[in-house]
Amino acid sequence: MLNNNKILSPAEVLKENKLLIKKSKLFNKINIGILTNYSANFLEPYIKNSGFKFSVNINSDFPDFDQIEKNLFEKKFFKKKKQIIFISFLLDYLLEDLTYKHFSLSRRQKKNKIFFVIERIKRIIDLIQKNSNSKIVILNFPNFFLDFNKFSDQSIMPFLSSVVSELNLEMNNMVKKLTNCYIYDFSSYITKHGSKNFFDETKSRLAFIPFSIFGLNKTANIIARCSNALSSKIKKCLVVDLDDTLWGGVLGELGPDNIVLNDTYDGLKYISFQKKILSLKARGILLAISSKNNISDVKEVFKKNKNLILSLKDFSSLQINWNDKATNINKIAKDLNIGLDSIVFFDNNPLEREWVKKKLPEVSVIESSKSHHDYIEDIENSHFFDQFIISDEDKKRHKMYKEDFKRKKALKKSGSYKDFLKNLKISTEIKNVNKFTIQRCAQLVERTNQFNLTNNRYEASEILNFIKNGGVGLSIKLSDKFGDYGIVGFIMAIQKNQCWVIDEFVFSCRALGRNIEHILLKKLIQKLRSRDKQEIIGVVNRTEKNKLAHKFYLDFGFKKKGSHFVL
Amino acid sequence: MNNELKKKVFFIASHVFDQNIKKINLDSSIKNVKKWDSVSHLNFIFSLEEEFKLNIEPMDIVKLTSLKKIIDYILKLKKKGLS
Repeated sequence: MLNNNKILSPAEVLKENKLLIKKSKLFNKINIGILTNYSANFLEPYIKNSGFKFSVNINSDFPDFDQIEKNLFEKKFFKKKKQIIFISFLLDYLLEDLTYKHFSLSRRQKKNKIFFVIERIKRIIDLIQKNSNSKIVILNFPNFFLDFNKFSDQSIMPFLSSVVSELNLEMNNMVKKLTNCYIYDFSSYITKHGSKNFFDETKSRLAFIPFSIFGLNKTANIIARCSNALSSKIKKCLVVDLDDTLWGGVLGELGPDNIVLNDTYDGLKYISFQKKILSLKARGILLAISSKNNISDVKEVFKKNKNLILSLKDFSSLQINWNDKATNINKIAKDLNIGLDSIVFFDNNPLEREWVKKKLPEVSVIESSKSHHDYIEDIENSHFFDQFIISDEDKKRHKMYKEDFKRKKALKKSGSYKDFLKNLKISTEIKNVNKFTIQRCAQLVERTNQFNLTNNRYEASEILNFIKNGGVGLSIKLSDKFGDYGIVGFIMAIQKNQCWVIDEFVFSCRALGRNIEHILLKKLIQKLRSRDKQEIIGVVNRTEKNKLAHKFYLDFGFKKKGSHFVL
Repeated sequence: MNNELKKKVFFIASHVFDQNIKKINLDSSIKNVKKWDSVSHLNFIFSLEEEFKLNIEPMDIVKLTSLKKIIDYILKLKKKGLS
């Protein structure tokens, strides 16, 4: 199990960091900013340490204490570019008088206080978004920890916590309307661990450090996980074993009737684990099985056992055979058309895990605990599935892969590829990118590697900015008789030196091979030509992965000029 | 027992003040250790609290500015704990 549960003192953290300095030079670097109304610099070595556990080197920057707005206005905070800026305010410092005055304040006065807090945060977000492209993560408000109310007050008067709830609700509403801005539910996290464990009144009065050593450790871990979630490659598939994972016991030895999956204590634990896995599927993670078993036995279990939460249909790929698991995972990657680095492997057998780690180093392997009681926590602590945005495409992913399977079958059956395409009844829809489609387009820009001509990983806010300043951005939706692909391509042209520059052109590899990307480019050219006769430059930035797109523009009458193409 | 304690305190000091353990001795203090400032001082105190399971009074924290003073303080607290 990842050792992120040990609580370290500042000395221990500094010691560990020093030992890892050499290794950390190979890690990806993430620059973050942290805006707080408490002393945040004590978090710094802890954040670095947590980052090292995810193999990232996180550099934190803080404004001077209590000088957030001043530092932001003076712009020196923006000189060093940050991928993510965290905002964390504690109400004990922000609305300190509320803790002893709140019974004497009118409802209107309370509403005003809430309003001013929200307005302040809005202004800070505004400043950040005007001066940078940083993603913003707001840690929402935990309950007051310096609380002077006794039971008798709380039972007969309005709770102080209602102010906190209202503030968090208002903040949710505000953030919903923004792009590139996310909320982390700090409040629930602290409730889970208990304010008493998380905060330290002595440290708070001493140096405006609200947290106990426990709180420092945990808060830094949250910040590191959020940073990792927003900057690392999304995992698309979980591969699980069957025996002693989805049920207790070895099916081959016990037979379908005797595996542990019932209402005994152990059985219930396995059922809970299945529920956890099903919840991942709902979020858009594909499921696959790699198990050394006879497929007839497995089918019998899934048919007969009434305690199963999962069914075979929930899995997008079944590798139930006597092959080694690395071979199976390779096949799964091929079947689902995803990279090995999008796959997470969960197996309770350490030998299997070592084998896969050795043969397929790109696959993420969860170091599962010895006891199945801890499997759910293993998945949650593994951070591989941490995600802030779940797009509509994510939710439909399982359905889409099922439809792909049907298409593959139809292709096998039909005489020629041409016939196959004709019978598909393809329909496309091209639209200007707008605030509803921008998330999906930005997701394509971020995730697409093969048909990605420019490799400019623009963020949603940057793309919207380009469009606002006269650029043209088009998205294309694809569907056929088997189902809807959703948005599969995005192209964007901007004005530069009296030319149109196609600065972004991405296409989902699931939708290639039907010349749809041609349709999108043609439409863009049509649109640009209807405006003026300026030169159109197709930018191609070569990478290892986008080889198939290097010569794409030549098919459209573009002429090669240096490393780019001109029409 | 005192040597054990001294060793532990020296080790913690070397990490929070980023100084070679060989340069740490009883005379090390806020006056002669380069990186002993207000932030690392608090990191030092918090680390000692964790290591020796102590609660150091805020009023005493400002006074504990040398390793000799700190070790004497911890020994005093431990004696109090036993009696």
